[in-house]
Amino acid sequence: MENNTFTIISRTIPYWLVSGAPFEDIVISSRLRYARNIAGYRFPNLASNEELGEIFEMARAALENTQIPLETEKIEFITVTEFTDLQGEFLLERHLISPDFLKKIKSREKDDKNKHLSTLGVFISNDETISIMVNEEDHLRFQVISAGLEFDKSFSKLNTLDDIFESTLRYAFSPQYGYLTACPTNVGTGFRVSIMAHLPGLVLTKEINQALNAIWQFNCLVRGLYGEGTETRGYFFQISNSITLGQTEQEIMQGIKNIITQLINHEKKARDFLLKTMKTELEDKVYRAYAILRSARLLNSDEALNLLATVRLGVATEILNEVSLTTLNKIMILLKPANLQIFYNQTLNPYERDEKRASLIRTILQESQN
Amino acid sequence: MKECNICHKPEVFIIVNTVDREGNVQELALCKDCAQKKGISEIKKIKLTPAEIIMKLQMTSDANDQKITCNFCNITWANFRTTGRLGCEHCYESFKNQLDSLIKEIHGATLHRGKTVTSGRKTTYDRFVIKKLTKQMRQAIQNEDYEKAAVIRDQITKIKKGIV
Ligand SMILES: [Zn+2]
Ligand SMILES: [Zn+2]
Repeated sequence: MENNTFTIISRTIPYWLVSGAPFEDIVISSRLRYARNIAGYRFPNLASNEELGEIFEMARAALENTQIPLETEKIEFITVTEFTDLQGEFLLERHLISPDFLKKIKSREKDDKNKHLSTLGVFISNDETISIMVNEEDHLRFQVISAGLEFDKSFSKLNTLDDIFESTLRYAFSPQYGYLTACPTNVGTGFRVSIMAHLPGLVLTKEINQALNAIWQFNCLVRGLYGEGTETRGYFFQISNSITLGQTEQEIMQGIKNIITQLINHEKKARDFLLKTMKTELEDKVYRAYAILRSARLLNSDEALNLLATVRLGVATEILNEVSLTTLNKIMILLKPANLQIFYNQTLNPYERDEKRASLIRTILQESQN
Repeated sequence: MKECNICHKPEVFIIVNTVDREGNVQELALCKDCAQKKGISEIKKIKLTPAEIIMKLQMTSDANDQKITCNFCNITWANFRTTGRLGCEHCYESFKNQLDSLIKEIHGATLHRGKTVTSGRKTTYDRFVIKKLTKQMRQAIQNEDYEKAAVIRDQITKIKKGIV
C-alpha cells in the first residue's frame, strides 16, 4: 500500500462504524473470524522464509483468481506487504490486524536477504469490513467486521471467502479435530466471535463484576479493547467465545448472542436506573465531558477516550443530542496515536499529538453541530 | 448442596481454581465470608481460560517430554509445552495421547462438529506444490540421488493427473 493510500483511508471512517446498526447504542462492533492452515506446510512460527513466501503467494493467487461475489457492489482488496511500524499500528487501531501480527511486523528483520519474498501480509477490502492476515499465528486468518450486533450477513461473507480460498487450496483438516491450528485453543471450527460492547451503566452502578462473572461461566472471554493483555478503558469490553471445538459455528454464534442479549438488557436497566436515581449527576458528568472535548487544547488518548465514552453514554441516553454516534465513532478511531499521525501525514511527538488531537476533536464536534 | 471448603457452611458464593507449584489445579468452593477473608473480591473467574490452561502446561514437566517428537516438523512435546504452539498439522497425530486430554480440558470435547472441507480440485495448491516438488527434484538430480528424484517425479505425475 502506498503512503498516500494510508492517508486516504485515514480520512474516511470505516464502513462498519457508520450508524444505524442493531443495538449500536451498546454494541460497537461484531467481528467474526476463521483460522485456517494449508496442508503440507509447517505453521508460521516454524516455517522457513521460503515456505512463508510460498504461502503468501498461494493466498494472493487464491484471492486474485476468483471473482468475489461478496456483495452487489464489487469489493476491491488492498494488499499490504510493506509496513512501517506506524502503519502497522494504524491497522491495529482500526482492528484490521491483531496485536500478535503487529509484533511480527515490528520484529521482522528489516534487511532480510529474502526481501524479494513477501512472507507477511494482509488483504483488506476497500470498505474495511474484511481483512485476511497471512502468516499470523496461522497461515490464514479471515475476519469480517460489522457495526452493532449483526452476524448473519457477516457470517455469509466469511463463509464465501473461506469457500473461495478452499476451492483452490488444500486446508489442514482432520475429521476428528476439524481445522488444524497452531494453537489447540483454536482447533475445530477455528471460529471466533468477538463483540465490542460499551457498558458504562454496569460500570457506574458497580454491577459489572457480577455481569462479567456470569459471562465467564458461559464459555466466554472478556478482554480490553485491543485484545489480550490490554486494559479495559472507557468502559469498552471485548467479549468472545472461548470454545472452538465440539460446537457448530451456529451454536457458537447463538451462545454469544444469548449472552450479549442478556448483557444488553442488564446495561439498559443500569442506564435506566442511573437516569432515575441520579439524573443530575449523570447530566453533569456528560456535559462536563462534552465541554472538555469541545474546548481542551491538550488531550492525551486515554483522557480523550474516557471523555468520549462518557459523551457516548450521554448520546445513547438522550441527555445530549447535539452530536451523533457516527461522529463519536469517527473520533474514537481518529484520536488513536497512529491514526492521528497518518491523518495529518506527519510524525508527531507526544506533546504535538495531544495538541493536534484536541484540535481535531474540536473541529469535528464544531462541524457536526452545523 | 455444596458447602464451603473452609468453614463447611452450606453456602457457596464462589468457586476458585488454585494452581500450586506443581501445576495441579484444585477447586476451592468458598462462602462469601471465607472468600472475603482470603482476599478474593467478587471478580474471580470460576474456571481457567484456554490461555491459562496452556500457561499451566509450562509449569509441568516430564523427562520423557523431550523424547516425544513430531516426525514431520521435529518439535518435541517439551517444546510445545514451553511455546504453546504446535509446529505442523501432523503434530495432532504425533502428540495425540498428550493433546487429547489437553483439548478436552480446553474445549470440553474432542470431536469436531461444524463446517468441513470439500474435496474439489485444488488448482492453486497443485501449482505451488508442483513448483516446490520440481525444485526438490532438480536438487536431488544435482546430488545424483536419482532414486529420490524418481519418487518425486512420480508424485508430480500423480498430482498432474489429479490422483492425489
Ligand atoms: Zn466459609
Ligand atoms: Zn509437527
